[in-house]
Amino acid sequence: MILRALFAAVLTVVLLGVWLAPSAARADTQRELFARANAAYARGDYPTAIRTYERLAESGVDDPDVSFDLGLAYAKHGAHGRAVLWFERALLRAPGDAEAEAGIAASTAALGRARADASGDTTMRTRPPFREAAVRSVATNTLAVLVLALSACFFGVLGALRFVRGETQRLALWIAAPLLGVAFIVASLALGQKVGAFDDGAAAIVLDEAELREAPDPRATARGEVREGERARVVLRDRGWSRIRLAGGREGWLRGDVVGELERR
Amino acid sequence: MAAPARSAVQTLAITVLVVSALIGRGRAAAQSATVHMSASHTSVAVGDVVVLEIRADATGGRVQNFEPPDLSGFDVVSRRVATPMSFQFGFGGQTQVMQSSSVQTLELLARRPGRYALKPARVLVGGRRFESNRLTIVVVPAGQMPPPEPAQNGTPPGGTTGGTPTNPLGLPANLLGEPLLPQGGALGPPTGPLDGAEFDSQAFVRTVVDKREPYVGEQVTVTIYLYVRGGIRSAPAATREPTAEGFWVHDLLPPQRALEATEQAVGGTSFRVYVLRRFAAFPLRAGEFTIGAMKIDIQSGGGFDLFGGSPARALHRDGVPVAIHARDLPAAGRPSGAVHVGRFTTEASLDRPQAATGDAVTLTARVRGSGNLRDVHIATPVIDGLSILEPQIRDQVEAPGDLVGGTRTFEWLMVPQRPGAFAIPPIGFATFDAASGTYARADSAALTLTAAGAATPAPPPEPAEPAPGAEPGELADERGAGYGPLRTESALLRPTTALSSERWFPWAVATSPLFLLATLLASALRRRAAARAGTKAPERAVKGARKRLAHAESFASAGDARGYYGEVTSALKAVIEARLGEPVGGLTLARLRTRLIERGMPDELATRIAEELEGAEFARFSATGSSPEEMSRTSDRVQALTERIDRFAPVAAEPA
Repeated sequence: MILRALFAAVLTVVLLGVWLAPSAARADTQRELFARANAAYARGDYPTAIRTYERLAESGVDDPDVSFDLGLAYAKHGAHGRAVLWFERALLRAPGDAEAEAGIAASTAALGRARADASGDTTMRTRPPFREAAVRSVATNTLAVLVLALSACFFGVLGALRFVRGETQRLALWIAAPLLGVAFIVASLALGQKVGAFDDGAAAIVLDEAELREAPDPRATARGEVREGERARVVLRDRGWSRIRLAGGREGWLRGDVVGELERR
Repeated sequence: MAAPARSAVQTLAITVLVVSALIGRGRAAAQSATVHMSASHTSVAVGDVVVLEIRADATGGRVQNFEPPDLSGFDVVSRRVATPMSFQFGFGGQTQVMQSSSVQTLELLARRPGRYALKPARVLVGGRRFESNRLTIVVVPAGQMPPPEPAQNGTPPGGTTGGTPTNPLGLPANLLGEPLLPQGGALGPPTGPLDGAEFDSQAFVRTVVDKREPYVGEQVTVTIYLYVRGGIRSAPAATREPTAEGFWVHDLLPPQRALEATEQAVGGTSFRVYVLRRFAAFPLRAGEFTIGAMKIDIQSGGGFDLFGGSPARALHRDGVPVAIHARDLPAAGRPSGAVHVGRFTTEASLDRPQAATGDAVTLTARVRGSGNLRDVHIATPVIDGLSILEPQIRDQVEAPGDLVGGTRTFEWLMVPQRPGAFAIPPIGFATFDAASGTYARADSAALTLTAAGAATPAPPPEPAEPAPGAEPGELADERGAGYGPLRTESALLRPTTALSSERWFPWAVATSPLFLLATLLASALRRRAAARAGTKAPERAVKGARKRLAHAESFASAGDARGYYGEVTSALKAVIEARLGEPVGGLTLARLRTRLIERGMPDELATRIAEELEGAEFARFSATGSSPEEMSRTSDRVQALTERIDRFAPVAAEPA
């Protein structure tokens, strides 16, 4: 009996070890990668730091601090479009991150200065559109929980109105119902905005100066240029090309590697 | 664990945590207390008087069993107890929290020289024991000058230690015959001459500072009191906040607190005294500064003041600006470079003492102590062979006993460029202790970092292999401007599915409206079923009546006239009740007839029913003469009546 129990315990430990070992090893490797990337950054070897952070991201890490560091490395290396993209990704995971917001502002300003030096003057959009800015500091999951809670409260109050007879309680419920209803609608709209329900296409950043083309083909007619760091929406994808819509309403095709979508796919 | 399941567990955990926190908060609020012990002086000569104050503030219970510390070495000259009490009401009057305070003030006469470490005072609140801070009082022989008073942990600089104005003899003013009342404790006003205020017999604002001539960088505790005769009806509204230009300011009061009053007599008039603001102000440079006057609007007249109650009066009061002269630090013995005022210690550590060349190592320096911590800066060390980034700085500022301090942590990322042992010199800075007037240093111990492995090349001026999309050399002079420091700690999080993307989320949102809809539907169906049941009641009653009549026939066959008429009466009344929808069993026959007519029944039918019931009752109790033929005729009549009653449609019921 004791032997059987002992055997079962040993087997459990072995199986657990087999199950946990790969994930532990993977964690160690990722820690090493992160330390190596930081060390490269500290040495001022930004290309190595970028490649190492990118490898970390490709290995499945989706961490706001890693995104921030990668943005920082790109910024230090002068690739401000990519810096903006990674700072935006950091913000997406950690809404309200003041340093990521400052990073976006600094990289956008750097792009503006470079453009002004090249063309005499330039206009840069430094702030996101109002709808986006309004929900930027709130996490998607927070809004989702809020929507669930407000839905339960609002319809609960409506249900209570059907059964509660006390005059004071009914008055309180009548006051609470419209307030909760409005809050529910606002939270739902905010969640919709956050998950892109009202936008046609995924949010993206243009990573390099490139030609906007009429078709997903390098020989297609150019419709004009897009600028590094510009915000866009990806409305269609086709054979490694992305059809984007820019803030002014311009649309066209860009090579996929020139477009960085905020939500990693 | 799969991502959806993990998300669900996380959500559940968050919900449980929030609920636990709310419950826990409620429980915590149910019973808690803080006990604070302070002394007017912590260094006195034999024969001097020390005022020891022990204040206990309890929430959710009454302060009981006050146990002062052992006071051997002192004579207790007097003992006073004040017990202000207040109540807080939560939303909708659902939660009621009693807050009680007890302030014991003891006047102690120092008898023997020595160093007296007073143990914590103890109180009992709701069966739980709470202890105060410890306190040390140094008594020197008579005639000697007491040493400078060191700041003690838990002794508020703006409280009784530094805040009580004393006379040249060092005695509390009341011993010299000046009018004083019990002090209000840590938040109570100082006794003695009324400074920082313009006296008004109804209400006035008083600004009290614990030091008029601080050193640059030394903490000045500023407290603004409101003195009101008879109390106030609502929280005062500040029309102008006190200004503190030239100071770095740290608020000492919690953002949410109950406005508590203590009592104090000024010029023979008793006032209720409220603390409006309390903050620590650190002068940023030498010179003359002013703590600007606060202006407030109040509604005077305590709502619960039964004896001195007066109608509410709107009052506007202006405080008095208070001048502060910030002194430069003494030149004698002043070290070169930056000097930080306060009492600090510095500890330094490496996350590992050995590393491969080219690997990053974190050097951490923790500065702890009291003083303007946010002003503490440590220059990044410069060590040949080590590349050191600008530090990440984290602050944890606290103000125990109103003494601002805490911990400031510096983290440098260092990368050895070549192998070897690197000596990291002590990290620290010069300090000035305002209490003792002496300079010192807060330095860490020296550290050694050993790097092994091949030397790494110096950072390439131009990257050998550019990263994708990078344009080396561009904007080189602007890189680094406006960016935060590198983050050396990361949880290396994996992607998670947003709750709103889970398949169950729309269903979860729809659950509440669907549940409401189902409830309303069920309610409507139940009503309809009840209504249908109400419509069918007469039909059932007629059927029942027929059954009863059939049963009555069996009584008739058996010659049981009493049983027969009893059944007939019951059948008839059952049909009437079902049709009218109200009981008629308790009515007399005359009243029943009237009621039937009231409900719209023809007079003739109502009369016939009454007669039939009367006949049946009569026959029931004198049944000897009833023949089977008579009973058969009765059955026919009752049958006909039942059918007529069934067709009758009563008008709406009114109270019988």
